[in-house]
Amino acid sequence: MKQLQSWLSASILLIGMACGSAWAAGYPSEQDYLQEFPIVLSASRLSQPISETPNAMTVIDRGMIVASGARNIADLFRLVPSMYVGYADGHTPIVSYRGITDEHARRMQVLVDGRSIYLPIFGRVDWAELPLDIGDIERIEVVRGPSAASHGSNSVQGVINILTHQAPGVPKAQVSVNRGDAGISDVSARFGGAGEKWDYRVTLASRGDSGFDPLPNVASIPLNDNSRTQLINTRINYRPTGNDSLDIQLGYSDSSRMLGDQVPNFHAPVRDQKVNADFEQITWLRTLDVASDFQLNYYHIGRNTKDERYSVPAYGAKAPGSYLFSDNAVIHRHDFEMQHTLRTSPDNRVVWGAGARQDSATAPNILRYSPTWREYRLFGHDEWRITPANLVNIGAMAEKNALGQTRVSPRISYNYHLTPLDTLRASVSVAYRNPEMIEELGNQSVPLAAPWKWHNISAAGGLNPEKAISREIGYIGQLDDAGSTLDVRIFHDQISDIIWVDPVYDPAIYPTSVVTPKSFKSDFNAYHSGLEGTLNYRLGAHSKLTVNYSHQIAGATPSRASSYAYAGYPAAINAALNTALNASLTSYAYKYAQTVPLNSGSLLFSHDFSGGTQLGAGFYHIDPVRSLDAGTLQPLTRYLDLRLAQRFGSRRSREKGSGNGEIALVVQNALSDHYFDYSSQTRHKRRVYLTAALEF
Amino acid sequence: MFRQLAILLTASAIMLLTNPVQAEALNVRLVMSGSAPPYQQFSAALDKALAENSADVTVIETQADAVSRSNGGAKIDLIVAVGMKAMELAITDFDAPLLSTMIPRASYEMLREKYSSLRSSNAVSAIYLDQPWERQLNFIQAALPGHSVVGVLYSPDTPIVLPRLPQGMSLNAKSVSSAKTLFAALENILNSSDVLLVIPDSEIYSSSNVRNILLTSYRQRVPLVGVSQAYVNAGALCAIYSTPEQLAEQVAKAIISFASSRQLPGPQYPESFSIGINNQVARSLGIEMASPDAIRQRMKKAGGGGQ
Repeated sequence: MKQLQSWLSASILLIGMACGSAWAAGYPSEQDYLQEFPIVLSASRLSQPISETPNAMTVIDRGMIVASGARNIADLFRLVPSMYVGYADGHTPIVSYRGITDEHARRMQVLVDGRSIYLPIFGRVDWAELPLDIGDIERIEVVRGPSAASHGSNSVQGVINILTHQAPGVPKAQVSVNRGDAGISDVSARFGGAGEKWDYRVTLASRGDSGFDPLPNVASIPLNDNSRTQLINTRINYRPTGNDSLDIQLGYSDSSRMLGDQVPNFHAPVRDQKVNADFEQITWLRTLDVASDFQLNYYHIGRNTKDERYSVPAYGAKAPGSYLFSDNAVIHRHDFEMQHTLRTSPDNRVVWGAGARQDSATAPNILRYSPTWREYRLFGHDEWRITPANLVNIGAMAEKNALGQTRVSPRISYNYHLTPLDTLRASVSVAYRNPEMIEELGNQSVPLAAPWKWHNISAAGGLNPEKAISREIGYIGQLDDAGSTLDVRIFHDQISDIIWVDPVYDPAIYPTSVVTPKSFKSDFNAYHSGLEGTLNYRLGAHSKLTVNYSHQIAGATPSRASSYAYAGYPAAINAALNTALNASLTSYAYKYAQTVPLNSGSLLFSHDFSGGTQLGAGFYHIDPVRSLDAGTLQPLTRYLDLRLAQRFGSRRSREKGSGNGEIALVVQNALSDHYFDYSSQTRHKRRVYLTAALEF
Repeated sequence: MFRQLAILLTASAIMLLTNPVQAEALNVRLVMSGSAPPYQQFSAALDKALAENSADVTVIETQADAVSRSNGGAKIDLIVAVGMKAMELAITDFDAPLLSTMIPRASYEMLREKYSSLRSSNAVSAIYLDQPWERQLNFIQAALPGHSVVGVLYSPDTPIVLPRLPQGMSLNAKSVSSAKTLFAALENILNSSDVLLVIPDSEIYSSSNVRNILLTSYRQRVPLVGVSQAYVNAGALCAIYSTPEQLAEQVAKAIISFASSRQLPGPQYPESFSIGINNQVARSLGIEMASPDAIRQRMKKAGGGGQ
């Protein structure tokens, strides 16, 4: 069909030329000089250069993605200063920025082409089942610092903005296979086409591995964390007129991941959790003129988790039989946003808009009821170049969250170009994190032999959003004409009303529960200070070096002391309860400070040898660091990833666009065979895998 | 335009009446390839330039598709053909000396070759639409110092004569055989070039391709140098080009010189040119651009001339 089409269009072209004139093909006419074009790089498509953005920003481009050898999207964030990447198990990566790390790292907004994948119920990103293949990512922009004015709610500590290839970005077909240690077995196929008014690309992929395998001579409970995800992802661009562009994106994934323990674990036996995820997104961009355009964006994300299992007998007479535990959950997110970008003068650009979001969840065994949460937002941002050397970014977002609370998140930054190549930036910004459904409405309870219950979560509710104020002073320098840059800054952030997992003593629950019930409460204020730097250095035409360094300190203090005073209880019991809770508060504050490593850094080097050989090397260093919900402190970790690739195919076939290929060998953790990750169970072995890709 | 023509004709008539001793006015037939704005701008600017110089010239304008040898019947001293279609018609249907303009050099030479049997060389000349290679490269050096590798995409049918390069510059030219391989070639060339220079080629720079080429080069942070203000408006970083008005002035000069000497100047590139810069794109790419005047000064200094 496609061949027929191209044959048809070719013959039409020939006929057209034959009718038009007898000129030899290829001779330019004045039309080639005089033709008019629609505006392509319109006001909203032009991004600010890094020296003029209101926040510090890290860009991970395609070249870095390839050179890093990463298979998992989450691993790429090791290339961002102050960002932590760990694995709770083989299919649960944890990505956090500036600490407060736990399995649900909640304080960062994550967007894929403007679609928020930071999802209810838990407020986390499920990297494993994301219907997105790493090969479709064109670049990742990481905003380091609060950015609600530009990126919406929950952009508290930072924003990860993943941008995928445009529809015509993949005009050829490509098949790629990974095989290697730890059961790594991935396959992906992509193809696309470009036409006068339509462009499209389609990706089909299946990825999976056997997770963390037990290490010989190391005593630990083995993890059952095999996983496989199959996905389809498509992007279509349609241009009905020169001024209108319609971008349609669709995706679906089907995942299966193993959870649970082989040793009898009351509520967590070994089983497969099944997750289906889908999204549909449509964006309409209308270019009004050179200086303004208008955009409407709608998307829906659906996610269906099936995880039902029967308990094993435990707790003696309290739970003699087998009980049904269910983590089944269905969530839907609908989001609608309009945005208007206009340049009011050559020195001033305004972006403003409004949006609404609806999140609904059905998870009878996790939440108190099935909530439908709606939030509304209004945002505006102005970039004003007062003089060529002085630039001010000022903006704010006002939002009304699902709990009826209204908050305004302002941001102001001043960028001063000392010279065209050297810039100083000072900025202050505020952002809020809204409580998640689990924090406000969590209720995880299974009745056992009466009167006993397994009552894990009983959220008290009534939470307020966490508030972050961030201040920074930075320097951005362009070192040479080749594009080498240096970006250094010092920052001081204050976060108030931090929500933590509060071990509650509730006389209505605790005495009859076989586990300690948990709630969520805003009990801490904290600070984060530090220094971050990134050097991007070009060593000649064929080599590139990126160095990231971060030095951080953090601390938290409880904003209350325990004050249990249950009537009818002896004073000694109330005093014991208060002692226990105060110990928990102190312990949390102590661990909080350890969630940032004092020093961390990464180094990525890539070199293109002649003859189509490419070397990529990534070296990562992280000082001892803690995840709040992991039992142990992660010791000093240093590891090295290497990738060596060879392209093949003749120059002729390259020009014809057929028969090209690449073989790559990736060695992860080349230095050590068992380094510690998030917990004692997740110990990385050296992993080797081979990638073969064919383009035709 | 007709009013201007009428004024010009009246002016010429008055001049004829008031200056009876002078010889008969030069009869110029202006043949246009179309009626789109650029042709109209050319015509209006030509009228203006001739009037300003009080040239004793009568201009009769006709469209290429409406013209025939019998048309008008008056004696024709010189034909000015605007555009490719007009030149082809003028070369085949008229005998008078021909000055072709608003035509790329390669196409002018192709038509000369094709109809070489019909015309002797001294009776045909041209003022091209395109800029000489030297000027374009000089412009890139002046506008984008440090951008030394110039990427060029062309289809195999395009006649391309690679120029001698200025010191410190290299050309990265790739031929694209079909639309299917365009983006592979584009990616390849963007990876290894500092700047992408447009070579007019309807196979590559069609309006739908231009969109994707601009988006791709912008994402790869490689600036695009276009050949018209339209490219700059669409999102090219900058362009060097000659406007219809600038061509018309040069054509007017050639007509005036022809009126006295009955000789056409040799085929030549446009003398004056314009520089277009998209400051928003420059800023977004983090490129510090000098003003068009400063770029002109640098070009002059480098010896490329410039007006």
